[in-house]
Amino acid sequence: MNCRRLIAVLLVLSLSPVFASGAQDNVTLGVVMPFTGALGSFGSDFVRGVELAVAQMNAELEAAGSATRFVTASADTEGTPDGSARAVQTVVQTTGANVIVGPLTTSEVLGAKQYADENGVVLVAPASSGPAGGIPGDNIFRVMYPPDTFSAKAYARIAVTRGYQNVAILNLDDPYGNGLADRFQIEFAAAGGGSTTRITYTPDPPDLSGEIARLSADVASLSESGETAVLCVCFLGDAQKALQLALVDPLLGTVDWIGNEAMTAPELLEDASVSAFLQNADFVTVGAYSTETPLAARFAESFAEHFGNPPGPFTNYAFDAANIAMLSILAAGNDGAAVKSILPFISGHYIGTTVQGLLDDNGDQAIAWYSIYQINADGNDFESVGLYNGSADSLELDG
Amino acid sequence: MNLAVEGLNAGYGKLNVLRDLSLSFAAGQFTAILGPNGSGKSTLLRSIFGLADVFSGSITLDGNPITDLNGAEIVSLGLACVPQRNNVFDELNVGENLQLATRRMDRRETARALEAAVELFPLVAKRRDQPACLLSGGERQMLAIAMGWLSRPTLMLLDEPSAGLAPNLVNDVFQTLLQLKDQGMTLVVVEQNARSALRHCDEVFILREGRLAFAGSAEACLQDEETIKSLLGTGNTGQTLPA
Amino acid sequence: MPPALLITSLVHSIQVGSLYALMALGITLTMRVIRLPNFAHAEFVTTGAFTALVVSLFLSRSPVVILGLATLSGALVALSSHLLVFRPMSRRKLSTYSMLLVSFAVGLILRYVLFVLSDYYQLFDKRIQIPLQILVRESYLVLTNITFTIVPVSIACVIALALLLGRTALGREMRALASNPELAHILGMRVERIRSLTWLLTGATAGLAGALWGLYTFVNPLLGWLAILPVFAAAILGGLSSFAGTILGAYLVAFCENTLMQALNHYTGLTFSFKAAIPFVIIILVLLLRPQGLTGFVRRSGDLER
Repeated sequence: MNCRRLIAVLLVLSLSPVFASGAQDNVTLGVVMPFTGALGSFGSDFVRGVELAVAQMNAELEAAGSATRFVTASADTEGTPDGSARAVQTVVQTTGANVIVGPLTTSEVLGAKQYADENGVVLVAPASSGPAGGIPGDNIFRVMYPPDTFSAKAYARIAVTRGYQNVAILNLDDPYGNGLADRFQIEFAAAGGGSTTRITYTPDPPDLSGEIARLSADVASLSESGETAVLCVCFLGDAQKALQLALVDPLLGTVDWIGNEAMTAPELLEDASVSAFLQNADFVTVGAYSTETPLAARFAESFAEHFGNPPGPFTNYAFDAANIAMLSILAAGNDGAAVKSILPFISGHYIGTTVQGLLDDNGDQAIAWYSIYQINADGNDFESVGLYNGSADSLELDG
Repeated sequence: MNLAVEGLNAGYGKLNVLRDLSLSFAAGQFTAILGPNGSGKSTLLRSIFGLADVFSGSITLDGNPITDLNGAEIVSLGLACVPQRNNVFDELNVGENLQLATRRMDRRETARALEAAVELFPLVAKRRDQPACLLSGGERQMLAIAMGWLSRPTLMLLDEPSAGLAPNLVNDVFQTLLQLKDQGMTLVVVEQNARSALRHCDEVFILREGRLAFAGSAEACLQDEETIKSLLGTGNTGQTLPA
Repeated sequence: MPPALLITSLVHSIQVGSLYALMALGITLTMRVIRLPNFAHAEFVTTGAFTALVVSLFLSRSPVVILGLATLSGALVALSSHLLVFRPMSRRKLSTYSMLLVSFAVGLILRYVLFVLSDYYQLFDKRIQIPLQILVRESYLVLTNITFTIVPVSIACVIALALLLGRTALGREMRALASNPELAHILGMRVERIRSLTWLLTGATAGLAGALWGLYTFVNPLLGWLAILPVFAAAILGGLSSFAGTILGAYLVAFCENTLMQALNHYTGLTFSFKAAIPFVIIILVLLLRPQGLTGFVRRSGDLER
């Protein structure tokens, strides 16, 4: 058998589950996530969350005597915008799926947006939060995880409450990083803050030495006009690189630091000198606060039972997003336009592992609670020290 | 030492150059392989050194096949080869080129061998610190021969040592080769320049289209003017042969 | 430009340049002796970084042990790639372009093996356990133990490699093989052995560079791949053949990425996001204006060529 024929046979075999169970009414739920690249392990866990939701739904459908069954078809976004567009297209064209759970990040969501809008495919993204994705009337629903328009307010409130006049920002040059930094500058000015400076860095930088040297120079000039803090909007690996350089900077150790959700990671504190540096900088981070229901624990239990390891962070969001997508299909039929119309209603009335189902006019999460984190007394982990309610713009700090 | 080729079919990839070729080189003799362009002279040399594809037939040294041996093993059996072009390491200096050829000797042997080389190849010795790419054509050829000689072979194969050299330099090269023969070395020279070759060698093989067209002594060949003309064309041999 | 920025950026140029030089030398070595533009070099570097991480987490915190084992791991990965992939492939007489693609494939496989392993053993977002110490602090000038490890080790390696190539019998044979592989075969040089040793050497420098780069930045499976572009820019500045040119190129690329970028940012407001474009610009300019590399003009005089 020659190679090409072998590949053709393999392709047919791989598609055969789609045809195998002809007696039932099968509906394909698409899943596009990054399986490769820096966020690969996130993506893989999210897919499992979706598969668990589908398995539970199918069991219920069978028990209820329904002929409908859901099957999943997944594709890899490679963590990039164009990879994401390709993945959505592949899933839609090979399986006819009209509703897709994913992709993961805002840049991936925006990459797939045009294809989804033009072909009437609904994307249900469980973790995208960049303000750039907040577009009314499009085919993208960003459930569960609140958009950063809220978290930007949280950062601004913290900065003002702590009495910082100026903020030097270091952010990732992508829709998430720029969106959050843009919104922060607006909110900080609106809340009465002083000057801000911005340094952006390319995703996956080999090293950040130039950026950190510039950050130090920015801090130096901002400090002349009042108390200054640093705001970091980075992925964890980049934050590690940045802090290693900041440690030896004469100036960056003398000001306070604010970090994004990705920096709320105990891995950052494993190095004693980094931990000491951040404690000295009165380091504070903001992370989405899940209004968890008892279902969250049951989800974690069945996940571990099915897959042998506990779910990663936010995997329950993928689980909830899959349920919202499937319920919308069951309510309105497997049709892009119908699902698009009913999904906000279903989501708003859905309580899963969290109670965050209500969507705003952009199709984005409208319930936004954030935990405020600081380093604990032992210096080896983060602990929640307060809560920020995005819808009410209220900051409550413990003690 | 007896190098023999038996029923050899060889070439490159799908191109078959040598067809059923059988010949052997007598020890202590100076043999010339002549023939027009594309007759397979160089391919024969390259086959012996494992640089061409041998399709069938055998190449043996004292009855032992050498077709499957690598370069190092062939050299250790006492064979040396001086290829036609690119026969020195351009980017290394002359001294380094010579040192590479004495790689398998110990320190004292190396010193002695290099001394001997200076005597045999005075041109080369003067230029030890120069990069080989700056040598003139004659110096280059001498260096290449010196490098082959330094591995102390009993049989040395040379691919067109006179190519591109002025007539007086061609003579120098052949004089040097005769000196080597006097030391007891078996020499096999592939030549376009049939005139010079026939003047100095003992035995002659003439190849045409990958087959053996003539085998015999140089004198026999010289007397058979017709053979020469028909085989080598009117080029060099068309002129009056030296007495 | 404020003096603080100037001095820090110059210190960074030297640190980064030393590391680029160490990585680029391996690329130049394989390019010359093996005649392969080896993109899998990036993953030899990453392997070294991960070995350093694992050793520092579970085995020993001694810098000598960490760097030593990282060097060893790089050498072994390079040799195995040679024996398992590159040598069998080159026996099929593939063109340089095909071999380049093969090297891409080897790199991809290694990279994703590292991804899988670091996911499985939870090695993401961990730091090589050599604590940072500040050794010199003079107003704007801050030098750490990392600086004092990276720079001398890199420079010592670069010098050792140059001496090995220029002064030893093995180096001579490597250069000879680079210059004329067929003649090397004819003269009975043990070509396979020299090739294997070249891969060992390349891998060793890559592994060491990876550990040092991991110390300087951070360990993740993309570490080598992200650094390979400026490193290739450095090698291309060296014309992919001259070691002196490669070293010069490495420092020049690092200088452009740090000091020049800082100046552009300061005087024109160009954002740091353009830093990633600098190696590209250098590669394109060199290929357009000076394809023979920085030191191409000394090519004919063998001494400098080493």
